[in-house]
Amino acid sequence: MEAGLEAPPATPQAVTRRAALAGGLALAAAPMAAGAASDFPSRPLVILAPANPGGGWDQLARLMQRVIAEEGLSPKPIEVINRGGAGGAIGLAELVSRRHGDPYTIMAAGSVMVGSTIAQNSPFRVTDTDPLARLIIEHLIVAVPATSPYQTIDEFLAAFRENPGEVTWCGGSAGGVDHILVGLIGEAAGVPADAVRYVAYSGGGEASAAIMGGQVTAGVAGYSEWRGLAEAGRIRILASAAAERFGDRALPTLREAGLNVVLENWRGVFAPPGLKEHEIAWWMSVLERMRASDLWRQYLARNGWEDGFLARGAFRDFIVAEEALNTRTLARLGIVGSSGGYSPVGPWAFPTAIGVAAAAAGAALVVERVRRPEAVVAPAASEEDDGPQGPPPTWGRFLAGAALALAYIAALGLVGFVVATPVFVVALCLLMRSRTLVWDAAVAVALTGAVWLLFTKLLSVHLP
Amino acid sequence: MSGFAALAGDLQAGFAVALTPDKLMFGVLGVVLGTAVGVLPGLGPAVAISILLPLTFGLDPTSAFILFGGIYYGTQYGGSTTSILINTPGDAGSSVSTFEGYPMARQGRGGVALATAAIGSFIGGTFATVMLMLVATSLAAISLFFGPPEYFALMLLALTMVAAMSGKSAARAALALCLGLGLAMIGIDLQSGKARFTFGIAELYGGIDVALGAIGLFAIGEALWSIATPAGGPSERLPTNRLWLTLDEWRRCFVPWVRGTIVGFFSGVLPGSGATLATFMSYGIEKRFARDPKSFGKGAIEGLAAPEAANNAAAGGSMVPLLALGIPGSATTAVMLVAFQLYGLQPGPSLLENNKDLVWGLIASLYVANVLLVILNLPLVGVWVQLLKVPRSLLTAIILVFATVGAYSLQGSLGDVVIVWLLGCAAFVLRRYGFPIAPVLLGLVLGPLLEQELRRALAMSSGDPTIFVTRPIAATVMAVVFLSVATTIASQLRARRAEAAAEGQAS
Repeated sequence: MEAGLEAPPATPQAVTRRAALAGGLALAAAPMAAGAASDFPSRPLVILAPANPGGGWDQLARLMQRVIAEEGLSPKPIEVINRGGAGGAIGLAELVSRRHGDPYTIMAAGSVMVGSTIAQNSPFRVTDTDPLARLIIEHLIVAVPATSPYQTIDEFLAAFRENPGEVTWCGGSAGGVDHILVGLIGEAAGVPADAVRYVAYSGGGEASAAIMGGQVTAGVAGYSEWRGLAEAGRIRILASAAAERFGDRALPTLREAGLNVVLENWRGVFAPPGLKEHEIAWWMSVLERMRASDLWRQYLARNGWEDGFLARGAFRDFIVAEEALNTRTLARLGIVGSSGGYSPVGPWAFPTAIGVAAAAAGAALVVERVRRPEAVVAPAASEEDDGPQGPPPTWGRFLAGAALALAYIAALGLVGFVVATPVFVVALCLLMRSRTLVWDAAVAVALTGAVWLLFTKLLSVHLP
Repeated sequence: MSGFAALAGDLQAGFAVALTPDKLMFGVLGVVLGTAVGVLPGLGPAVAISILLPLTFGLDPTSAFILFGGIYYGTQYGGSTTSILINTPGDAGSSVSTFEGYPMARQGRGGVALATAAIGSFIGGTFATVMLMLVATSLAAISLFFGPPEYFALMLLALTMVAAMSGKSAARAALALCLGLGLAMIGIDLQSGKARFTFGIAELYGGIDVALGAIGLFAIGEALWSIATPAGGPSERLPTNRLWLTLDEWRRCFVPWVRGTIVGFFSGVLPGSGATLATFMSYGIEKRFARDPKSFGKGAIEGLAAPEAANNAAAGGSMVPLLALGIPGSATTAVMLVAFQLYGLQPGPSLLENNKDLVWGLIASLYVANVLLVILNLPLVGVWVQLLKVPRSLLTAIILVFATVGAYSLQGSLGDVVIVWLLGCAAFVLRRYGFPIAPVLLGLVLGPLLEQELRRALAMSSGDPTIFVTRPIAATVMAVVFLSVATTIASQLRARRAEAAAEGQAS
C-alpha cells in the first residue's frame, strides 16, 4: 500500500526461504517500522480479514472494529480490509511478506487457514506470523435435514458405518475444518477414507441451502451458522464435536456417541512477524480490554461463540499441535498427496474437457476458413455494425499503448498513484496525438486529485 | 382476505417507517452513493456496503438497512451508464448492456438507451420487490429443491446462450467460450484443494474475479482499441439528439422488460447463480424470440431492455433467501448478513417474525429507492450524454485510470492490475482477429458453476450420470437444453441451405 521499495526489515528469526519469497512479493513494501517508537500508534490501524466480506473472519474483524471503537480502546481509528481467496492464503501471504514488521496491521483468522495452507502447500504457514491471541471458539456440529429419518446421532452413525457410500456430507472448502471433522468422524467410525463422500461448498449460504433442501444426508458447520435454522425447524442438529456439552447442555457430544473426536473451530488474531515488544504489548493490552468488555461478552453469547482466550506462547503451541493434526488428517483424506479427495470427477477432468472442446472449435475454424474463405471476418468490423469502416487498428500503436500501461503499473509501485497518474494521462494523450496538451495536462492533474480524494477519503481505499 | 389485509397493514406500517424524513434521507443517500459506485468500474455494492458498515454503527438497524438497500439497487442502475456510453461496464452485471447499448450510443441513440435502461431497471426492481413481499417464504422453499443436478442443468442452459453471441462464426464464439472457461479454472479447486494453473503465483490462487474479467476484457480492451485506431476511425460517434423513447420504442421494449424481470428475479432467488448470469440469459432469450435476430449487435433496443430489467430484478430476488431463510444468495447479501449479526439480529427463518418493523421498513424502502432512482436517473441522462463530448484521447485516459484504480481497489493488489491489463491486451488481440469478447466473460462466469455443480452432483450419485435425468426438475431443464440446441442447429442448417439455394440461383 505504501509507496517505496524498501525491503522488509530483516530480522534474525526470519525464515530464509520464505524471506526470499517475501522479498519477491514485496512490490510495495511496508516501510514504517522504523518510525514507530513510543508514539505508536500515530495513525489509523488495520485489521486484515483474509476473506471476502461476509465470512466468519470478516465477521470477527468487524466485531473487533466495533468493540474497540465503542469502548474507546484505541486512540486511532481501526479499519477492516478484505483479502479474500484460497482459504486465507492470500491474506496470510500479504501479512507475512508485504506487511512484515508493520505494527499497524493485524489479521483476524482461524482454524480453516491451518488446513488450507497445508492442503495447498502454500509458501507460508500460520506459524510464520506472530500469533497474538486465540479469541473465540465456535463449536462444530453435525446436522441432518428436518426430513431426515435419523433422529439421533446413534441412528445416523449406525447408518454411516453400515453403508458409508449412501451418506453424503456437506461443509466448507476441501481441507478446511469442516472437512477435517468429517475425516475424523470417518476414521473414528471405522469407515475407509475413500468411502467418505464430502461435497464442498464455498460460503455458508450454499451449504445451508443444500442441507435445508435435503440435497445431502448430513452436514457440518459452526453452531452459530446453523442454530437459527435448527430453531426454525429446518434442520436437526444431532451432536457437537465439543469436549463436553455446552450452553443448555441439550446437545450430546460425539464422544458420548462413542467417537473419540473433539474438534473446534477457533478464531484469533495474528501480527506480522518482526514487531517490537512494545508494539506487541500495546496490541495485547487492547485485546485483553476488548475481551473484558460487556459488549464483547454480549455479542459472543448472542452468537453462540465461546471465549477461548489463549495468549501468545500458549496460542503458538496450540497452532503447532493443530498443524500436526491437520497434516495427519489431510494425508489420510487424500487431500495432501497424489489423489484429490473423494470425487468421481477429479480436479483435472474439467480442464481436460475444455482443452478438447477448444481443439475441436479450432479445427472447425480451420475447416470454415478453408471451405468458406469469404466468410473470414474482417478485423475491426466483427461485432459492432456494418456501417462505414474507418482505418483498422495498427499493431504499432497497440504495442505503444501496452508499453505505456506497463510503465504506468511499474510507476504506481515505484512513485505512487499521485505522481504516476498525471504523467500517464499526458503521455497517453501525446500518443493519441491530442492537440490540446495544456488542457489535457490540467485535466490530468484535476482527475488525479479527484480520484485520490474519492478513493482514499470517501471510500477508504488506499491507493499505491 | 385476512391474509391480504394483514399484508396491507404490514406494508402500510413499513411505509410509515420508510417515509419518515430521516429514513427518507438515508434512502436518498443510499441511491446516490449506489449510483456513483455503480458507475465506477470495479467497486461493487458488496465492497461499498462493507466500507460503510463501520460508519453505520451509530445508527439504528432500520436506517442502516435502508441505506444498504438503496446502495444495492443504486449500483444496478449506475452500472449500465458507462456500458452504454463508452463500452465500459461499471460491474460484471452490466457487461451485457454493452452489446446493444454501445451500438445505440454510436448511432446517436445514447439518450434513448440510457432512458430504456433506467425504466427497465425501475420495472425489474419494483416487480422484484412486489414478489419479495408477496411470496418470499414459499419461493424460498421452492428454491431449496434445486440441488447440484438442477444447478448444473441450468448452467448448461445458460451455456447455450453463447449461440446468441456467436456473431458470424460459431467456431470463433466456441473458441472464445473455451478461453473463458479455461481462465475460470485458474486457482484453488474447491472440491480437492489442489492449485490449478497458478504457476506458484500467489495472486492467482484465488482465481480471476469476474469483476476483473469485466474491467479487463471490456474497459481496457476498448481503451486499447481506441489507442490503436487512428482518429477518424469507427469509434467516432454521432451526436445524441433524443433523450426519450418514442411510442414504437415503448412498444418494442415492454415485453423484453417483463421477460427480463422474470428471468432476473428467479435467478436472483437461487443462491449462487446471480445477476451476471441473469443478464446473459435474458439477452439470449430476447435474441431467440426476436422478430429480427439479425438486428442484434447493431443496437437492438430489446437486447438492452431485457438485461437491464434482469439485473435489478436479480438484486431484488437475492433478498428473498436472505430475508426468508437467512442465507445469502450473492456477495452483497452476504455482507448484509454480517451487518444483521453486528446489529444483534438473528438472521434466519425467524427474522420475518421477530423483526417485523425492520423487514417491512426495508421492503417499503426498496420501493422508495426504486422511485428515487428513476427520478434521479432520468434527468441525469442529459448530463451523462455530455460524457460523449470529452475528446477521445482524454476519455481513453480517464477510462484507463478508473479501470486501473477499480481493479486495485478490489483487493489492494497490483497483481490484480497486471491481470486486468493482460486481459485487456488479450481482448484486443481477439477482437483484431474477429473473435467475439462476450463469450470469454460468459465462460469466466459459468466455468466454476458448471464444474463445481457437476462434481457435486456426481459425488451425490457416486458417479452415476443418470442423476441428471431421474430428478424431475433437472430432467425438465435438460429437456429444454436439448430442445434449445436442436432448434438452433436446425435453424442454422436451414439458413445455410437457403443461402446455398440462393447462390445456386444466382450463378
